[in-house]
Amino acid sequence: MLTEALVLAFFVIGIQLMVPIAMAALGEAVAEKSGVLNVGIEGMMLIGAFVTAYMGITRDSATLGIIAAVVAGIVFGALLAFLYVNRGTDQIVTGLMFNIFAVGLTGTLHSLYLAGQNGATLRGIDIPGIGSLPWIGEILGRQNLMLYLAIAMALAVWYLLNKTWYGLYARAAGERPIAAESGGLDVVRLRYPAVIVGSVFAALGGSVLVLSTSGGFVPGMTAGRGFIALGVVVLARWRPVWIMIFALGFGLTQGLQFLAAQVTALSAVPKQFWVALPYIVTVIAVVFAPGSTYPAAVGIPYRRGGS
Amino acid sequence: MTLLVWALGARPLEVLQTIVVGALGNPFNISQTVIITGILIMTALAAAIPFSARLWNVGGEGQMTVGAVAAAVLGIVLPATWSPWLLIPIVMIGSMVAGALYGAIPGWLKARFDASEIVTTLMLNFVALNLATWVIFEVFPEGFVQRTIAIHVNAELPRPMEGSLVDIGILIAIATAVIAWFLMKYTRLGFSIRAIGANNPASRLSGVRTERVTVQTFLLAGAIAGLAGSLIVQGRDHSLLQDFSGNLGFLGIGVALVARLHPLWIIASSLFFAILRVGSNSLQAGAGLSPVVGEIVIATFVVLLMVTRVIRFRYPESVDAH
Amino acid sequence: MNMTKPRCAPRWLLVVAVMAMFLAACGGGTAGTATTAGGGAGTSAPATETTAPSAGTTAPAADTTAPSTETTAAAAGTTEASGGEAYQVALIYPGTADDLSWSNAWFDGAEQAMEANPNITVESVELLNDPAAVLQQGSAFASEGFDLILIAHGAMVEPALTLAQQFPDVQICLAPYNPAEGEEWPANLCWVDVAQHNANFFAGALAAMVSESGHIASLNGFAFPALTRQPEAFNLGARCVNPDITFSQQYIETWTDTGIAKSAAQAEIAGGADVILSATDSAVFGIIEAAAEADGQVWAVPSYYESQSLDPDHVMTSAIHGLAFASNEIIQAGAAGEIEESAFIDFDATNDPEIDAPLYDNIRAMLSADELAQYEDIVDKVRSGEITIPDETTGDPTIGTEGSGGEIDPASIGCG
Repeated sequence: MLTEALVLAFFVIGIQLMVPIAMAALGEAVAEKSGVLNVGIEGMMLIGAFVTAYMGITRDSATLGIIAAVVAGIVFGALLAFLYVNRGTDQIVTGLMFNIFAVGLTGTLHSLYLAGQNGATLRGIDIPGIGSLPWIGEILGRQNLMLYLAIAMALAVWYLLNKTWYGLYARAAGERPIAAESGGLDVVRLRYPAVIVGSVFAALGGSVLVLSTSGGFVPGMTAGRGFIALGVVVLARWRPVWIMIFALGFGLTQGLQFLAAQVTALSAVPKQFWVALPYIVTVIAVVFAPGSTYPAAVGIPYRRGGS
Repeated sequence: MTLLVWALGARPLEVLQTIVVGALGNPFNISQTVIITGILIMTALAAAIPFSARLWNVGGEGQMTVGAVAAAVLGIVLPATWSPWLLIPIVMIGSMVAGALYGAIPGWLKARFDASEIVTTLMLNFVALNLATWVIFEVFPEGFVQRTIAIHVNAELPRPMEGSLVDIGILIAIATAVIAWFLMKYTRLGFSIRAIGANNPASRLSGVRTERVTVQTFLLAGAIAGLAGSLIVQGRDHSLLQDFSGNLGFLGIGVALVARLHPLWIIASSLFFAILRVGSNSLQAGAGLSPVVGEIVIATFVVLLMVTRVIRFRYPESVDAH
Repeated sequence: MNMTKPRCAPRWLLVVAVMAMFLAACGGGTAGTATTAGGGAGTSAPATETTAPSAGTTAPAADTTAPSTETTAAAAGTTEASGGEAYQVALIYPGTADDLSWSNAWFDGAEQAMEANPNITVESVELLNDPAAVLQQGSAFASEGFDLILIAHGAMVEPALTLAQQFPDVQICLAPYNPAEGEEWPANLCWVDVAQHNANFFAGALAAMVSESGHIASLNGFAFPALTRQPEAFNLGARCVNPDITFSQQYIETWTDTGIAKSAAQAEIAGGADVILSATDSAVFGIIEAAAEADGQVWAVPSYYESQSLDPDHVMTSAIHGLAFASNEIIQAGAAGEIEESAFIDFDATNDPEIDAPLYDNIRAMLSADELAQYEDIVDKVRSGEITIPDETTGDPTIGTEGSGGEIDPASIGCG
């Protein structure tokens, strides 16, 4: 039976599920705009989740957890950037291997240090003026700080890509690296920070997962959200506002399964269909999203001097 | 690599010895290594062929899953009384068709709508996973635990060596690799695939129909990945199990790369990865390391090969050229 | 095209550089503890020494083709270890040794067995969900001369059968599995079933007393009888106390996704539930968080393991499945040579005293004397067999069928 409470919960859930995906997708947009396809964000999210839980459990601090995620994002982002940009390794394969690596690494470290423990979390916060609004206050009042961080990140990415010299040059490196270099730009130095920013955002996406659910780490807890983020980026055509919208759409579609479970008329539909639905919708959306082709140089390692 | 192992608290030589003994130390372990080799050959081919056309099929995992589902369903619903000569090939062909059709979806979307095959294949992996879950838990549940009921005995791949678990899957896999090599080297389709991969502007002029070849490439890759699923169900497990894949679909990408996408080298490369995979399962018993460390070792190894440029790709001369 | 450029540095230098970065990163996350990692699963320290000799012993077995007894020369004669001879056990499970869940319980039982009998040594292997890997792990241990391989993972029936056939002198046990009528299996293979749902029945009875809204719910991993019986028994236990209780449930199709579990719990809470059973694994973290964030008092009921410490204000009870007891019993029976041929070892609340849903002090304080007496009465009657909780092989519908908990008449099993 559909009640008002249930519909409200549906939106609370949708936004909740949106935030980690949106963060990872925003970071990925920056990396891809500069010409690097980072398939390793799934693994980066796992690592971010792990270090956040580690700090939350051992130091009982969400703040330290977030800082740890940023540091881990920088360290592993630099490692990935070294591989992608300096060594010119194939981006798709490096990313996939990085994911496997991260699963193994976090799984091993988890069983050594963190299993069965929960730590610091973040709870819903009241924004003055919004909390008293009907419906919207109810929905937003349940969201924690990370939603607002994600919105801030979206604005920052928009500003970075569209309003700064760095964004302009990085996009040149992503579309026409050779022309960019002959124009005096250093493609390698432009791509490095983009990959690192992308990794930091993904790691933060991982820390959201932990901070919103008891503060514990569970091996494999990202459950493919990094891959979803890759889809969202393409759908949104690398535009931050649309990334937020499509990530929300994905979150709401994922939330449908919980509504469906309470509506008896839908009980004949296999529950696996509802779980699979967001992925099916993403495929369809990618097909019909106009102009959703990658920046021209995405995925192709760049060597100084044009080859 | 050595440092990594050392950092996790084990002596590298001991780990190496453990892995080799664990993979090849007795007939049982050898049989496991051979079975995994066969499956990896398939998933690696399913990556190598499209990669040669610079079509990034990272959906081998999903295509393999759909093939396994098809094998399980056909192996259960077809009459049990049919002779193995009829049942085995029909189930295998069914897996290939299912995998091919599933692979064709991203191929067609790429050709028709220019939809990023990376995104579509990754998403379709999840859809396939849920399809398998549905079949395991709702359609043909075993009755107590997380798997389907067993397929008919007559649909199982023969195990020619008495007392050994090795089935004929490895022979099928090697034959497939040889056929794939022939196809890539001597047929028009193979030529077209390589021409697209080289992004040769002349390829279109010389009559290569990119869209059509794209779909064909994905059909082919999907069929081979589907066959990998059939090897797992008909050869190894005899039913469809939850978590049956062990990431072999993804691992195939690494295998293909180490072989530099060459179908025949894939056989050797698969054997190598299978030794790492199977052998690393002895790490816990032998060297006191968590078996997950095997995954870390494999991933690090592939990346190292790329970093040192032992493996590398050919990319088009210039992306600015169009 | 790729020009072969002059190399700027020797390749091995690069390799070292990359590895150094990996190491730096590992060290950063874990505060320099990397050197202790050899412990792996936390219990495996002694294992390191055994490699060299046993690697040798596996080699002579190489000449076997028939499904023979020779393959396990190393293990022969050790199955009835006693009187000071070491009894080596390999324990394989899908989670981790301290995950406060399924795997944790099996691990604890193994520890207890080692304490009780110093001849027993147990090696545990964690995070194994891939059947091929279980088979390979099992064979690795069997080849090393282990006496008992205990697989605590119900999906591994096929690997267990294969191992039993390949290593006829090694005792293989698998839990949970409940063989069908007339099913035959090798002499050295034992199936173990723990009627985990008996604990959920207790938890359900308690939930019916604690719930203010009269609406309880369950979030479940995947639908198969060994799991389905848990939420259904929860409902049946609740109906044993209050036949009019409202029960709703969802299969969330994951064991580990805490975000999904939290969302599902929020939806249930919005639907009116105020006690939520977790019939999934580590995803329970999400359910507890949803309970903690809810406006009114909402309770979570973790399964498998004593979990009050996770959040005493929102964990109503824990459905303790008695797995540690089973693990301990089986290992000790193995060491004493007491596991029968083709055994089926069945634990339920009548013979496994650890199957329980404990009354925590804060809950005890909420209940009336009558309710407390009623709860204790139900528990006593189940333990004595006066109330018979159906299992998933008997009855129509069996307790392993979705919806059965709402259909079975509580009076028919001895309630009320």
